[in-house]
Amino acid sequence: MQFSISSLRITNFRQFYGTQELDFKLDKEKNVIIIYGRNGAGKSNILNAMTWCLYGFEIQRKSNIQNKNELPIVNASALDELKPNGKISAEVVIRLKTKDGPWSIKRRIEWSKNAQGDKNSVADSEKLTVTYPDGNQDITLTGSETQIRINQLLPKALIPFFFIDGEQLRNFFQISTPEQIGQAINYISQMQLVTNAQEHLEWVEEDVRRKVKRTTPKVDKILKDLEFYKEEERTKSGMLHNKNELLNTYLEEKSEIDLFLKEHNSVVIRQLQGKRDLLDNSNQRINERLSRAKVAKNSYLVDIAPFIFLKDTINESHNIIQEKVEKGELPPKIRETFIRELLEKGKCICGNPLIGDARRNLELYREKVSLSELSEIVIIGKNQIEEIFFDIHNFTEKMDEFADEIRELETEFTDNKLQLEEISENLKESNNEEIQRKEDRRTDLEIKIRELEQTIHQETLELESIKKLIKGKKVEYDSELEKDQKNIHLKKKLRLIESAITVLNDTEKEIKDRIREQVQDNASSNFLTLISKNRAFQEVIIHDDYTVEVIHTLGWNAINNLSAGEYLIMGLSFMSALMSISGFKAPVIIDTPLGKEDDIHREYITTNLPKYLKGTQLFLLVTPTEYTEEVENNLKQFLLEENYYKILVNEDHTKSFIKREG
Amino acid sequence: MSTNHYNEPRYVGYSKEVMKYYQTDHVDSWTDSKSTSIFAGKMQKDLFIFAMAVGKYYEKKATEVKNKQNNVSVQAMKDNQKWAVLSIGIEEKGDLFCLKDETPIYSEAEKYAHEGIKIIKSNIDEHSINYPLKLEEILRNILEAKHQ
Repeated sequence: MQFSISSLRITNFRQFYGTQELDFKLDKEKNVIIIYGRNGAGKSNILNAMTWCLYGFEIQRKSNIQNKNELPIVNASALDELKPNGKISAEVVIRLKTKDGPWSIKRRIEWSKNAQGDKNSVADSEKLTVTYPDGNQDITLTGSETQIRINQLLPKALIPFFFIDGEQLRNFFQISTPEQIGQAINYISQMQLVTNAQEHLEWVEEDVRRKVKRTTPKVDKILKDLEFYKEEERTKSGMLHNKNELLNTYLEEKSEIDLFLKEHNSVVIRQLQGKRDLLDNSNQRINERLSRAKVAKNSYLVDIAPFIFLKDTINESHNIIQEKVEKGELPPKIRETFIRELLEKGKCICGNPLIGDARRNLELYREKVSLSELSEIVIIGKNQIEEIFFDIHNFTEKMDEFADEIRELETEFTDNKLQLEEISENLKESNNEEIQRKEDRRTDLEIKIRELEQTIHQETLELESIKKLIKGKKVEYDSELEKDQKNIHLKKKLRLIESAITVLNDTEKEIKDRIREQVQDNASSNFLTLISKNRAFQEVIIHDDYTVEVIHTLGWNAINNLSAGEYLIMGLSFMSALMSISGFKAPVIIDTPLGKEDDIHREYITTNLPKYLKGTQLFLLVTPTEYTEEVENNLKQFLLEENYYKILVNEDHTKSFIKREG
Repeated sequence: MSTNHYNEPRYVGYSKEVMKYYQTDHVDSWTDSKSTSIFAGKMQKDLFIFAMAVGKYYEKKATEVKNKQNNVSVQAMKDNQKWAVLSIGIEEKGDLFCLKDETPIYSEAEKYAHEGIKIIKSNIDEHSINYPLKLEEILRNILEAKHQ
């Protein structure tokens, strides 16, 4: 679905007092819309107004549950000015242009003031109205179906890729866990249909199994076991899901603390955190190398052990071969059949008859020749055995090499760990209470994360075991069914369902893999185009487990060492990759897109991003510090004068107004 | 380098009793990459050769492998692994004629492997995650015994 926003009308929403109307001119080349306002003027509430109107929630608010003491959604000044027993409403109307014709989406909520002056929202007053074209007529919908219509326009799950907070985008790759990145990619994979089909088939499978006649006590028992394990699987999966969510929360909180320390105004704190980042990365790499070294050592042990166990046996067989070679009993390859033929014919190749001693000699030779047929393979075997001896001979040296490597890595890991503990102690001894508190919390989080990761690892293994048990029970069950002809039809049905589930699982994996690869390629190409130091980086990799790497020209992974500007560009590259792959062409709205950017990256973003999103409306909600003269000049070529708006605010910040500047 | 072997079987097997250690989709699998065993990520043929060598070393051989599952591909074995098997045949027969028909040698290997698995199981039960260390010690001792 493709659409653009032709106008936005905001009435008494948050700090917007009265009705503010913004009309946007549509132009494919000049696709930028600027909404300019200083901090606190209400830029973020423009973004909130849009998501509230479309989906009923405000994207930039931590909680969408109205707290009694919180500012109401309806403009506080307008509510104050309301007479007792009066009503007022907050309303946002968005008009869209689609290829089928214009849409109008309106959401409003009412507030009232009673005789005593108490202000409350009117129960059930929130109402969404959608008017859209259908053939030659306009259809107006209210009620539950309206939200479905909007979701068809742009699914709610995709909001984060179109309604973007610059600050969050900057932090996206600093605080997001691989699971969250995977989730973002999965959102655009639009796998709901496949997932629904999988769930449905699993339900049908269980239902068919229940219908099978429990003709033997064994079938009955297997079915009971199967149901038991299925229930175990469900419970365990649910528990694991919750634990993973909790782990993500901890990881996110820890990343936020790291970010806070990394951007702290004290140089010492920044340096300590910077050093900690490097040490953490180093230990992560050491850990990976350690586990690889341990696996390689075990694998080598398994490969070499048989030869050492069989050392004497192999040695003995080598002696036997060697003896035959030395005695010359392994003559060049002569086929036994050739000698047999001569004996049968009773004639030598020279034409003389084979009789007497000549025949006896040839018969003796036939025995020897039978061995000569093995010449080739025996010689190969001899060489193989000699190579085995060589491998056995190297065993001690090879094991010592593994031990040295593992010891070195472990020492390096311990040294880093000591330095990390020292950094943590230094931070805890800081004069700044906030830093002390955050560092204490970080230590606490590290312990919790470690414990939780261990539990999750253990429980994942347990879940795998349960899945294997279920698979085993199904095999047992199928072989029991074979014994009873009555169940043959149901068995066929089960086969079909099982194959369909397998196909769906494979399809799901295939789609997810392909989309991940597409996102990776697009994000990589976007990043290398938008980044100023494009020669410093090679590519962006998104692995199977959704860990992201930004590969430096020298081969290092720089994902944890990017500057604030580079993180924003990484976020933008990823989001625009997701947008383009999602297949939805909707306006992109970015709040504070250039904060913390250096001049070079501002230049790059403002000259390249609009080109990137050519044909797509790009709303930039900017502060005066972001909208510098250079930025203004760069954006001129993409900006129609009529699409430049300014937010004005009164002195006490209670009323904001929007004015067209162009 | 490979050459034509005489009557080399395509597959060798193990009994149903020990199948769970070989196959990855069993709870007790040793070869499953997620298993904590030393054999994690290895192939069935690697475990077979290992078990056969252990059985031979401790001179334990089953009289018969019952309910055999022929799942171990001989073709997938490396040449040195095949020669470990064939060495047993050559040593036991005392000559090279056995190489004219390799099938009986592999059948003997199955019998050693069957008992070998049981020995490995009891070692793993005894040493748990320290089994690789124990194995390393055993191998070093075998090699040192040669030099003494």
